[in-house]
Amino acid sequence: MNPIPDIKRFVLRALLRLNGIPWPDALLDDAVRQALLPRPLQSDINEAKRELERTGYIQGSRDELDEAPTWTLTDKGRHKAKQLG
Amino acid sequence: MKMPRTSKLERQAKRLQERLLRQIALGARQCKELERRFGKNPPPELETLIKLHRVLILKFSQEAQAAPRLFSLVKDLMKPVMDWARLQEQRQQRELAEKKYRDQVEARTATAARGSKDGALRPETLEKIERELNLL
Repeated sequence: MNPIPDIKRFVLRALLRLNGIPWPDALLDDAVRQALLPRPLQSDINEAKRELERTGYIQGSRDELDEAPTWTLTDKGRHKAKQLG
Repeated sequence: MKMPRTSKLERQAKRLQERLLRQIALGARQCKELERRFGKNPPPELETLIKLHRVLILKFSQEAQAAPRLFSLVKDLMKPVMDWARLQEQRQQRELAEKKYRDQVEARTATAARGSKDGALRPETLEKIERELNLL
């Protein structure tokens, strides 16, 4: 079964709850691995993030403190995440 | 058409996911609360601490078992920082009030000096007026 749609749904729902706070990439991966059974592969998580970014639901940035990548929702992503609940 | 029954594993996964999402929301609220209290432009010396606090809270919000205790711990760790920030703010307000008062006194002295030169209000009269207006 393809886990990528489930990963994408979870990422959008979690980012909505973060309410604008940038989500560090490593923590996002960690949360996805905890949230889904069976545990998704890192390659699947990466693919899900790439798709979400490519389709304009999330945007990446760099943290000012340590230059680590972070993620936030775009307006389109927020709208979609609210539909998911 | 009958829907397939959700397996025990699927139900467990769903519960776990919802719990994780709730904890993430709780962590985010705590971050926002702290950052709201420091205002939009916190002192530079606090910016790093605030960012570290955010990372810790987000990390702990994903530790499904330990989150409640760890949230409290991080909150307690930040208390001295919050107290310090509050004292700094009070000090700045006091300094501003003192400066304002000094400026007012200087202005009054200058006005009084001008008054005594050209026969306008005498200092005693000025003080009386200010007392009545409760400016002193």
